[in-house]
Amino acid sequence: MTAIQAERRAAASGNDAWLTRRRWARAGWLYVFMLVMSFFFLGPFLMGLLSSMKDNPNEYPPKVIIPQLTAQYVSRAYNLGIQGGNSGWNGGLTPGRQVTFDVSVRSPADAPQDAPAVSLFPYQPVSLVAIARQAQAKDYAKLNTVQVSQSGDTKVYRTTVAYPSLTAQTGEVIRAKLTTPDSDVKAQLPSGEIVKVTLDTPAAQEKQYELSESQKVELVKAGGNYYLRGPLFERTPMQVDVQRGQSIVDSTLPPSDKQNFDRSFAFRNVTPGILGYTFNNYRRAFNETMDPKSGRSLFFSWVLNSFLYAFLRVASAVLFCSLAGYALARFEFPGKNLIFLGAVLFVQMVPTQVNLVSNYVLLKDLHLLNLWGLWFNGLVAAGGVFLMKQFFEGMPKELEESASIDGAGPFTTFWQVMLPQAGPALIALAITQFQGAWNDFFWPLVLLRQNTDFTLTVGLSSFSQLYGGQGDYGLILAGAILSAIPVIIVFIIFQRYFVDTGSDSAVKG
Amino acid sequence: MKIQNALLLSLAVLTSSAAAQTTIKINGYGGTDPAVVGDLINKFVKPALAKDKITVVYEPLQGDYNKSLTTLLAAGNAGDVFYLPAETLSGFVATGKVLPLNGVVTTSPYIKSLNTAFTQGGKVYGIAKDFNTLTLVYNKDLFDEAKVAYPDNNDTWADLQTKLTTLKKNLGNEYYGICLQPNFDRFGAFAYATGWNQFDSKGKTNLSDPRFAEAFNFYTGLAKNKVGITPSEVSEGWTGGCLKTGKVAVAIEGGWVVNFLRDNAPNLKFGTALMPKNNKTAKRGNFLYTVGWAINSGTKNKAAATKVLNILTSPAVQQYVLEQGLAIPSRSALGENAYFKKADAGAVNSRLVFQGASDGNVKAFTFGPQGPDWSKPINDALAAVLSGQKSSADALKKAQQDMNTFQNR
Repeated sequence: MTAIQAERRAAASGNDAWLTRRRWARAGWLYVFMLVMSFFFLGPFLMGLLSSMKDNPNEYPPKVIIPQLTAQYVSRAYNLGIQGGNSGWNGGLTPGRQVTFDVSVRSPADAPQDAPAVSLFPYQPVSLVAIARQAQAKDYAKLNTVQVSQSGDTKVYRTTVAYPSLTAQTGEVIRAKLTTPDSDVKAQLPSGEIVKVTLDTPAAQEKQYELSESQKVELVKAGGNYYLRGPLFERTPMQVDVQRGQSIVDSTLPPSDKQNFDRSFAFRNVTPGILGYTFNNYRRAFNETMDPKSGRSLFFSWVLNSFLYAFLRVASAVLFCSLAGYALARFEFPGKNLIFLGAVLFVQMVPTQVNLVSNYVLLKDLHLLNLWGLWFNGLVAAGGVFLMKQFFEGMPKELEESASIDGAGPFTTFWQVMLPQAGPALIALAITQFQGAWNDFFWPLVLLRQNTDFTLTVGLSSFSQLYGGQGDYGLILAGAILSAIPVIIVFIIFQRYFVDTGSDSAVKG
Repeated sequence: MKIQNALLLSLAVLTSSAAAQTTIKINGYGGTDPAVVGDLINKFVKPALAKDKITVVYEPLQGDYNKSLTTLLAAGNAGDVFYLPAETLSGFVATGKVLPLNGVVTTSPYIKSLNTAFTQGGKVYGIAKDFNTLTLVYNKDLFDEAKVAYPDNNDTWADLQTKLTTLKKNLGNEYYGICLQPNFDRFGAFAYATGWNQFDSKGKTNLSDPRFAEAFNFYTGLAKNKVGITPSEVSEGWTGGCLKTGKVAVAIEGGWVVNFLRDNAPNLKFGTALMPKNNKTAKRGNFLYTVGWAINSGTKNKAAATKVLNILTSPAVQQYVLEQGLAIPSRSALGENAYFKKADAGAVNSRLVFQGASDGNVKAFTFGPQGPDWSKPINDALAAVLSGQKSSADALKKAQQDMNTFQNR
């Protein structure tokens, strides 16, 4: 007997072990499945984020560990930013400062032993405002390269980029922007005041006709006069060339471009700062889309327009859909079903493209080819009315009855009893409307004419039209990532409100 | 009483100014064009037209320009003046919405081939805004390293082939002679060099013409032994991208490649040469890529629109556009401009693009009345041979069959 019992016990414990294994295996599969799914959904976003930070987002095979995210190089970029522009974040080169940059060159015994040829080069990516030629560091800064050390056949050279101030005057240093010159050079101070700029040295006078409108400069205020210290540079592009037989083995920052059998290194910016190094394309998206008329960043306006449009759409949807939904759910009035069928269901069945022409012509005649017309066009979402109607129909009637016993009229019932219960539905409505408005492309493309009026989606399509042909995918990716972030944030914050109302427990018995 | 008077007065002022003010609307590309044209309007058009009470607005059409313009023309909402791409000229002329400019604008100061590009049935429909042609752009470092002479303006097809083959042999596996787009957009220029015509008198395309075959065999023959490759083989989308990698010595591209290289390969040393000459005809072939200014035939302000067009094509504007490095001007007199005499790589490229318009068999880049699908049989044949799937003779035979089917539609 005992033998049989023992056998059973063993079988049962084997069974238990098997069950436990199965349970763990099932959990394992679930986790693998979820990991794979999140990889598929988040992968493109993360890859885009990574590529948007690279110098060459197109590189193949793509690297996952990039210098822009390596602590060593980011801290060097920070240091270079401090040396050049007194700002570890923004970087740049400002008058009176100097920057040192090291390059190690290996010259075997049979190769030339010369120092590398170091020079600055003009670099201004083609942008929406390509016509405003900005001053180039090349024309203002001086270079000096010396050998600082040697180990074996590798020599380390230190290049000093010095940018002397164009004036000897001292006093309060002010940043300003040049405006349309007449016989004098004029600048607009941060306060808005336009002042005459004095060029008091031959070096400064030489540059008088090279500085164009909207150039940012540094002035020094002394004795009521404003003296030009020099233009401000966001970038200091530097190029290092070695001869055949030599090779460049190390440099303070890795090169952004290599040519001539890796004997020519280009550093698009040796004074980047962290923003100019890791987030270069993000900074460019804002800085290089200045509207020449207003001096404001187009990208920034697009973001604001998108937020404004999304906010307006959400506000109007919440207001009108809840009112209409409640009326359709609870009130009895003639033609109710007809309205529901015609204005809610049928409207959803007609593709938007069908009323493209009529809506466009109508809005054009109303002079509403702008953001307000866009809002007007999507003022009431039929889908939202449907959602709210269904939601209110699902609420217990007893709530309203008890309200009316207490003497509440229909509006008070709606406003004080029903609407506060409708939180989850309103949040669902708000999220879908926000996402819909934020991602809306078709109507903004049709209705918005001026590039200052664009929403982000239309702006981004003009981005890809503009920079895609130029192979500037980093900038497009940066724009796309920036446009995806708000939707992700909104979803993450609001998804926890997708819970039940608790209205079931409001009615007892 | 005083307030009433003031109101009446201001109302009168408003209405009178509204009556006298003429607005000319211009339709053009999106992208950088709003900034460029806006700048031209502020600098040149506004000062000249201030006393005529003409205001000018630029309305860019985002996305597919031809589609948008067709819609606007059909709806009667198009601008008084608009961009007219030469490649879609015939389609727009057929609508009757483009005003013939004969007797309205003098066309003699413009490069002849550009006027031809905008001429249909003896009438001129557009004045070239600017243009581009193809040139041979090369990486100097690769030629130096291979110890091969740079391509020059006297090269024939055979010379170019020898140079590229030697370069490939000297540099080895990692490097290539030329990037070849399997596309009529680039190959067509070689076909024109032989004297081949895109359409015969009946509007048909003859791909079995021995001259076409000669160009086809030369172009695809460059791919032998990987001397020439397609852009995708170096993970790029176009031949300018090939140059950027520093692994490919030559690309056939227009002036647009200069800004691309400046932005994407700032330390690449490049040079430019004219397109090589055909061995037999001793002529180059080339495409003219051009966009013109045209006037809407339905405009209510023809006189004002003409004034605006004349200012936008004036020597002052074209010189400004050239010197800012924005585009190549269409006035033949500007060939003497000091900008073209500069030695930097970009200016040399501009000069050769400008020369390209009047050297050899130069034709406007167009697909004819049936649109871009016309080039599909040719592109397919090029792709099949460049990738080694078909022999040249087979591919040409298939292309001719497809072309016949397409043109008999």
